[in-house]
This record gives sequence, C-alpha cells and structure tokens, in this order.
Amino acid sequence: MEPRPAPTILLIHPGGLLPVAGGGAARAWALVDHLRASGTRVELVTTDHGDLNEALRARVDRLWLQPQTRTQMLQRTMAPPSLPLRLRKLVRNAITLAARLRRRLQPKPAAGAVCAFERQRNRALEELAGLAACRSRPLAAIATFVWMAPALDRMPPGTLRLLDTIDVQHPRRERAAAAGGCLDHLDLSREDEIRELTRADVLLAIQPEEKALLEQLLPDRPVCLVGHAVAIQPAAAPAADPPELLFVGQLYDPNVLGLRQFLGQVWPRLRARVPSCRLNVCGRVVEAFRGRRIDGVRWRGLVPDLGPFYERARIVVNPVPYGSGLKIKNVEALARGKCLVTTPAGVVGLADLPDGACHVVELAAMADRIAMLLADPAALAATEQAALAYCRDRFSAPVVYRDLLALLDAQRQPD
Amino acid sequence: MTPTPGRGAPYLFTRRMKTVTQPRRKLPVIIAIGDFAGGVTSWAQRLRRACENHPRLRIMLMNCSPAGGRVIPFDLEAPTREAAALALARHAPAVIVPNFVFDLYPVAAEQIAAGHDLRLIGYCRADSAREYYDPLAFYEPLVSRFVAVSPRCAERLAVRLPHRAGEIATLPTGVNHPPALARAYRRDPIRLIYAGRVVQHQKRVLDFVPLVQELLARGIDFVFDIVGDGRQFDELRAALALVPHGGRVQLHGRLAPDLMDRVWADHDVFLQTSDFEGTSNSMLESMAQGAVPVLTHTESGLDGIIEPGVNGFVVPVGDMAAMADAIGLLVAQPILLERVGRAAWQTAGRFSIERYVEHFARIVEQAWGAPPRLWPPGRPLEPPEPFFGLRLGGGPHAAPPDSRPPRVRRVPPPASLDVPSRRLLIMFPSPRRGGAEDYTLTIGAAAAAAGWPVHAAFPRRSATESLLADFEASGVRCEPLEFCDIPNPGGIDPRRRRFTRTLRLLNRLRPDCVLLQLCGIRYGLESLLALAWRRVPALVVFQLVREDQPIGPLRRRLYAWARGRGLRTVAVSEANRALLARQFRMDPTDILLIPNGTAIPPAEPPDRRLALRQQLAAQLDLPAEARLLLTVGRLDHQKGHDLLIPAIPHILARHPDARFLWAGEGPLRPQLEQLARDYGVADAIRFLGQREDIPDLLRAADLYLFPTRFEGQPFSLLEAMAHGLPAVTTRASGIAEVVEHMRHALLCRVDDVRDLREAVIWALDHPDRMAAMAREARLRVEDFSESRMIAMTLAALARAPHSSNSRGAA
Repeated sequence: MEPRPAPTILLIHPGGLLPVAGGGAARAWALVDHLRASGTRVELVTTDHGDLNEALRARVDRLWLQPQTRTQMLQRTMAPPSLPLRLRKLVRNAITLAARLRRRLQPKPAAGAVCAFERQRNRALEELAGLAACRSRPLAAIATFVWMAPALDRMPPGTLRLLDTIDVQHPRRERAAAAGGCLDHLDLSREDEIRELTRADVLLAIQPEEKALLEQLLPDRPVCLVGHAVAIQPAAAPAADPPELLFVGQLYDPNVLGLRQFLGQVWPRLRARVPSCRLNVCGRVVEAFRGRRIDGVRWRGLVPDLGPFYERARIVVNPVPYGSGLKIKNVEALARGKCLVTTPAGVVGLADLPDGACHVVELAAMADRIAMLLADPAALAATEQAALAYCRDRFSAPVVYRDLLALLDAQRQPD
Repeated sequence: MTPTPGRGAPYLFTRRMKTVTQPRRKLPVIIAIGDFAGGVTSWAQRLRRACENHPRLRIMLMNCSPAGGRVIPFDLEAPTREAAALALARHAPAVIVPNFVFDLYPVAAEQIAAGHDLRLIGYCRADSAREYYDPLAFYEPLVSRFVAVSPRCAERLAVRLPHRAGEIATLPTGVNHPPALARAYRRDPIRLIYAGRVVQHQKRVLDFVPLVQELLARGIDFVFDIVGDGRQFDELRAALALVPHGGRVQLHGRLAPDLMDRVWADHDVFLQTSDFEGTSNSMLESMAQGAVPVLTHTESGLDGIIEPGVNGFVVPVGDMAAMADAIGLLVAQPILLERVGRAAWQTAGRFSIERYVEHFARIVEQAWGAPPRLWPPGRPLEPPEPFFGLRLGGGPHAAPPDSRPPRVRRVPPPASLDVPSRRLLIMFPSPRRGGAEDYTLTIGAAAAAAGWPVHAAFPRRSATESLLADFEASGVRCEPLEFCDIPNPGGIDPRRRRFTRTLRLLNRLRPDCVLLQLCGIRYGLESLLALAWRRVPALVVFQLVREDQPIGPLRRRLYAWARGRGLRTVAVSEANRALLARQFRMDPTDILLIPNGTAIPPAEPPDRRLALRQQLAAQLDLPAEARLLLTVGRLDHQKGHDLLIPAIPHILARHPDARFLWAGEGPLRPQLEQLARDYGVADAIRFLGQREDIPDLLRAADLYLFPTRFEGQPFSLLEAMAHGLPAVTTRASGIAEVVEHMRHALLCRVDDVRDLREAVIWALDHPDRMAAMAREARLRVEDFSESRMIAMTLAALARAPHSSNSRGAA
C-alpha cells in the first residue's frame, strides 16, 4: 500500500511575519512549526516581505507572495542590496515618504465612504489565496484575522475553511475608548463581524473567554480553542545587580498607552525606591517614544533575539490598560520562567491562572510590588517556578494544538 | 548534411517528405493575394523579388481574384476553391500565407486532411477585429505561426489567442530603402500624394475633399496625386469635382508597384487619412523615398515609427484642418520639410526589405519545423457568416463594416414629444462601445427621427467603428473628436489640445445644445470647460460615479464655474445623484435625474425561446439540457467576472449542467481565461466575445448573472429584465432602486464571492421562484422605459436656453 501523501495546509496571513515584531507573527510561526513537525505540508500566502522573502521561504513548504506594490518595486529597483546599507535605507525612506506624501495629497473619499472592514481587506491577497488553493488543493485553509475571511470564499469545494480570529474585533473599539485608548480604525460592527465569521467552517479562538463569546455569536459554528504554543525554556538566573526590568511591545495603542502610564506613574516611584534599577524596552513600541530620554530606561527597539534580554531581566512588566485576545508576550515571559508583573487587563486570556504564577496589580500599586519583589529573591523564585508550571500545563504545543490536529485528522478521514 | 525535416513524424516516411529533405530544394511559400491595388500586393511582389536568389525560399504569388487587369505577374491562378485546392495539392509540401483570403483556410484544411504537407502562416495586417482578429481566431487550429504587422496587432491577437501568444511574431513590412537619399524637395507647389485603396472604409478617402478645401482656404500652393483604385474612386472624383481646385488634384488609377518608388520620390508629402491600420505599407514605402508622412492617428502602426515633428506629422482622425495646418507648416518652412523628409528616410532604413527577408525566412522555417496542424474533428470548417476578405469563387466580399446593416433599430420620437427642433451635438470621450455609448446612440437616433440635425463627436477607434456605422445609419452625422482621457499608444493628448479641439468643433458646428456623456467624474473636463467657455447649453450626463474616486478642490471649482455658464448636471439614478451631489458639493435638487431606460420587447412565446436556446447550445457545442447562465458586459474589473470564477466550482458541484456564457470583450480576458483554467472551470465558461445578437442571447439564456462592482444604472440589467430573464446581481449603486431583492431578482453584496455563489445556487434550485421574479421584473422595468428616457432627455435639451454660439443665434 502506498503511503498517503502529506496533507497540505494553506495559511493565509496578511503580512508582517518577519521580522517577528508582534504576537500575531509569533503565533503564526508557532503554528507553522508545529504543523510541519507533525508531518503536514504548510503553504503560506502572504504579502511581499522584500529582502526577507527568502527567510520566509525557508520556513514553509511553499510560499505564495502577493505581488509587490508600486512603492515596494520602486524601493527594490532604486535601492538594491548592492548599495551601502545607510544609503539604501535613506533611499527607501525617501521613497516611502514620497509615497505617503502622494497619498496625502490625493483627494480623500468622504468620511464613512469606505468602511473599516473594506480598508483592512486585501483583495489581491484573497485572489492569490484562491489561486494557491486551486493549485495545491489543500486539506484545509487557515485565514488569520477576520478581514482575511473573504479569502475563504475562494477555496475549492472540499477544503476545510478555518478562521483564526486572534481577537474578537467588534468589542475592541469600545473597550479601548473606555480605557482612554483609541482603536477607531477597528469600527467593525457586531453584525458585520458575524457575517464575516460565517465564511469559515470552523473558528479558532485564542482563549477560552473568546471561545465562549464566539459560540454565543455563532451557535451553529464549531469553535476550536487554539492558544499560543511556546517552548518552555527557563532562562538562566540574572545577575543580582543592577536589577533589570523588561517591557516588550509592538507599536500598538494599548502598549503605547500602557508604557506611557508606566513611565509617568510607576517608574519615578520605583526609581526612588530602587535607584539602580533599569528598564529595557524592546519592540517597535519605542517608535512612539522617539527622542525621549528617561533615566534608567534603555530603548532597544526591534531586536533580532529577545533571549539575552529575558536572561538579564529580573521582572517582566506588562502595564497595558486594556486588551483582548491573549498577550503573547505574557505567555513568552512565563515560558521563560520570568516573574511577570501586569495589570488586570494584561492577564486577559490567561485562563485559570493560579495565584503566584504572576503578579496582577493596578498601576498605582505596581511600583511597590516590583520593589518588594526585587528585594525578596525567594518570592521572585517562587513566582518563576509557578509560572513555568502553569505554562507547561497550558501552553505546551501538544496541549495547544490537540483539538486542531484532531479536526484536521477528521477532515483527512471523512469516513 | 541532412537538412532539418519537418517535425511531423508520420511524414518522415512518405515520398513527399523525402523530396522535401533533399538538399538545396527550395521550400515553396504560396502567398495568396488579389489583383488589386494595395499594400499587401506591393509587399508580396517586393518579397518575391527580394527572395529570387534566396537559398531556401521560393515565393509564389497566387491570384485569388477573378480575372482582371494584370498589373503584376502571378505564379498561380486560384480564383475558385477548386483551383486553389488543385494549386495547393500540386505545390505541396509548401507554406501558405493566406493573408485576407480566408476561404483558403478551409481549402488548406481539406488538403492537409488528405495528407498534403502544408503549413499556414496567419498574417494579421490591420488592427481590426472583423477583418483579422476574428478570422484568425476562428482558423487558429490550422495556423502554425502568426505574424502581426505591429506590436499593437500582436498584442490584440494575443488577447484573442493567449495560448498561442508565444507563436505570434511582430514584423512590419519591408521596403526598398536606397542607401543614399538623392532627391529634391519643392514647395511651390508642394507635391502631395496618397497611394492605396480608394475606399472609405478604413482609408476614409472622402476626407480628402475637406482637406483640399482647407488647403485652398489657406492659400497653400499644392498638387495632390491620388493613386489607386477602389469602391469610392468615382464617388471621390465626383466630390472633388465640386471643389474649385483648378486641376491641382489628379486621380490616377492604379500603377504597377514597380513604378511606385519613382512616384514616391517625386512627391514631398505622403497623406493618409485612415481610421485604423496595421502598419501602413505605403507609409513606409514613401518614407523610404524621403516623403514626409502626414497621417491620422491610428492606434496601430505609428508607435515606435513616427515621432511627430521629427520624422512625420500625426493629426486626429478626420481633423483635416489639422492636416492642412501640418502641410502649411511644411510649406512655410522648407528646411523643416527637408529635415523631416530625411529623418523619415532614416527611420525607414529599419524596415529594409533585406532585413525583412531574414526575419520572414526565420518565421517560415519555424512554421515548417512545427508539426502539421489538423482541423479539429467535428468542428465546422466554415464560419457562421463569411469573413470580410477576398472570397474565392468570385463571390462578393462579405459586407464590410461600413456597409453592414445597422445594429440599432431606428428609434421613433416619443409621441408625447412636442419640442422645437434644435441642432444637437452629442459628445462622449469613450474609446469603446458599451451600454453608455449605446445610450448616446439611442438619444441621437431619436432626435434625428424627430427631425433634429444631430452630430455625434467621439474618438475614432477600432472599437467604435460599429458605433459610427450605427450612428450614420440612424441619420446622425459623426465627427471625430479626440478627447479621450484613457491612454492610447500615443499617450494621452495634452489637456490644452483636447480643449482647443472641442472649441474648434463647436465653432464649426455651432450647435444649439450639447449632450455630453461621461463615464466618470474624472473624464472629459476639457471639453466640458470648452462648452462652458462658449456658453453652449449642455446636459452633462454622468453614467458612472464612484465613491472611492473623489475629485480635488480645483476640479470641483471648475465644475461649479461651468455650471454657472449653462451646463446642467444629469444623474441616471438616485444613488448616482446622491454621489454627484456629495462629490460636487451641490444641492441634489440641482441635479436633473433622468433614469436610464430600455426598450421593452414583446413577450416571446416559450417555444421560440426554446428554439433559440437549442440553437445557441448547438452553436456553442453545449449539451441541450445545459443551463445557460449569461453575463453581458466588458471583461474588466468593474463588471466582476473574476468574482464569479471562484464560485463556479461550488455551483457546478451542485448543478453540473450549469454553463456560463460571457458576452463582451475587454482587457481582462487573458487573465480571466487563465483564472478559469486555474480553478478548473474553463470548460464551463464560454467567452463569446463582442456579440451583436444580445437580445437573442437574453431570450435563450436561463439566468442572467451580473456581479458588477459599481454602476450608474446598468442598461444590460434593464435589458435582461425587459426580456423576462431571471437575474442575480449585486446591490451596486443604483441597482437596488430598480430591483427589489427576492421580488424582481436576487441581490447580493458587492465584491462578495460567497453571497454570489449562494444566490446563484439558490436561483438554480428554485427556477419557478425565479421565473415569477422575472415576470415581476418585466413589469417593473416598464417604469424605466426607453421612451421615457428619450422624452425627458430631449425635453431637457429643448428647454436649454439658446446659445450665443449657435447658427440660429448667428
């Protein structure tokens, strides 16, 4: 008997996969790596990543790239890799600026003429996904984010259509407004979101609360819980002095708002109590603080590897004022056995979190709690152990992907 | 050394093949032509002469016209199909170039089937669907290699035959190019020449009459020799006799091609007034002898050859004032005449016959090296209607485009219309024909029928050829006006030129009122400003307004200024009106609403519909029980065909008998064909191309699919409803004003594959419900009748205040 060919999964992702600058990309790669490790072919449909296309290609079985935009093409032609890096960056930035300026000078459609969902849609990527599916005949297609859902309409008959929601979008705008944030670009109504979600045969929820919400929104649609899988890698113990803190975040409103509040309300008090402590800020969130100099804060920006920063950090902070879905950075910190100090909004999605696995405090009490932890290595160590245990229990790959793999297996053997 | 044999394996062992493979045996190349004046004839003779000593090619000219005056010697006579069959059989193995003798294809197919070793090279010699693209697409299975005489022709042929795109070579003609230019230029008088077919279709020879008038009016000293023959020879002579040119214009009849080089050298300027070309043979011949080409702007044949002002001059089609201006310039500046003439000679050096022979020989070898091509079994060899071209057997030419019966019926003036007669000018900048352009035809025909003097001004393109014929058949006089915003091979004309062209036209025609039809708010601004400048009362009908394409403040101010000078904005639907009001920031009540309308045909008896259905299924080689899902519209992004393709596999999974018929042409056709192949549904879709029997298709189909993304008020949907055809469409723009979901038709969201898929499946699942909706829709469309649209439009035009520019006022 001939062995059955490996099943193919088509992953449709709207872009920003490399460099890994946010939770969405980290989640996608975790899924890709696990599926491939379990013997599944993974084909990726995404936008052009420029110089990183080859790196993308190396991580999947087949890559489908949306043709470049005019600006990207121009950047590639005018700033080839043969140019010195500085000059290349200069030219690229100039082209980006010119493109932005051109867009700004163009007449704008009347307000409300094009709804948020339509703005987020990427029709070219939808078409490409359809084409890829026709050529590859995948067992299943997974679209990430609700605005990629229309791509699922283009799947051929017989392909299982999965939508990885990552977030339930429609409550986010109100939630942000209530916390003083702004996610106005996400003005998706409940009805519109339901309509889009019904394009999928199965919905993937990132955490149990959202699973329940999705089941409530679409009672006739199966919802599968697929959290975020991480490798449990306890980091080495950091040097005692100077104590370092870490904040990781992409350029995203809750991160910016949270860090601003942390630096305004928490950091001066903490420095007053522990003058030697330092804060490393990694990720694109630093772009919102460009030019700001604060004692003890080091703006690291996008780094190729967070490992050394985790190793040096005694405490990882996540002061976000609001949020939904699951904070991937929390899961990553816990998986490295780090003591996490966060706000109540920061632990959204971490279900059944035992006491002691992390410290959940309001911003007003955060400085005291951090100072206390820095002064009490035993408490710190206990938190770290509890965090690792929780992570092992909840976020190891076999646990996270169990239901999804069962679903795919059932699709493979319809009998 | 063994010469390369043909790749057709079965022929390796035949006696005939052995003869071919003998060394030094020349390969006969049979070129079919007619015995009449024209570029193809002189090309063929030149090629034969250039190949006399060619080691491989033996050119044989085959005369396919009935016996007549012999200006050039022929090698073969084949005036009938029988004679052609005999000639091919006798000279096989050979390569055949049928040119415009399309009857030769079936003859060759029979000879190939009988075992004769023949290859065919399909030449596309003009940018015309009826004359070349259609026949070549039909006989494509027989053709081993295609040759297009311009990149434009190659591109358009490739659109028709995407799977053969790699086998289309671009090769303009080859001419005798003297190594040095020894000639004199004169300007007192300047010597003008036209040589070629004396026909109105394509060559527009009757434009020479206003040209001569313009030259005389400018006091230009000239002589003008017209060399050639053709259907309009007598007509042209008679028309010129009415112009007091004092013997400056001479019609010479046909001359032997051998004499032409001398004739070109004795003239200073070559004139050409064509509205379409491939790459003009006469143009290159004359340039090779240093004559300055002054030509009309054709989409094909100028790009990459003529650089206006450097090696020639280009004017809009029909604009004889501009052509006279160019000649006047050459007379005024003798240095320019010589400089441009020499540049023309240099340019023609790229097209020497020696180079041509090299390329031609390579193409012949490629054709010969390809396997023989058999006609697909079971497919009819004869087209439904004979193609335009030279017929074997002495039969007449198939009706050329300028003499075929009009597609549009004459529209009687509405009975209720009691409006005074006005001089009406209809303008639209569109380079193609669609529902919006047919709307202008309807209005023009109705106004003409009501006794109004009507002119229509629009760009001349091959795609507007049929519109021109239909306008003229309806009693509307057509004026070429290049004011198109859509790029053509020559690029977009500068705004200033579009403005002045419109002004010039208005000065000449002096209309009382103007109907300017625009397919978008970004189009036709210059003409609109010209109308306002002249204070000509005009209705500006916006057939299409897009929300996502806003206009800037400057344009908005210009429109406001124009409105203050007698321009009235017209919307075709409420949605359209609201959008216009938002875009122009004006009060919606200031916008006149004239909904689009359609003629309502009498109800068709079911047996007639059934007969038409069976006929169509047979014609398209579809099973009789297939369910025919028709879509009519240009193949471009707007119409949403690409949304239908991903839905088709799902529809077929439930209704395997569904077949999708797409009538219309457009730039997206190759992509759509490829997409259909990718989705594995190519067999379920029939691309019908541009059809003139849309009403019959509407009667024959089972369901009308219209997945459009944005519209004004689509005529094609109204037409489908009027024909009682159940419809599935989208909620785009004004559609929801006409159609109520589940009452008149099924409406789905715009740009939504799933909605569309589910709606079509539902419609196919519920034919009775759809039939009931179609009956309701037919009643509904009576509110959108053509007579109402005409009456409202003419009444609005009649109400317009008198123009200070009009003849009446003058």
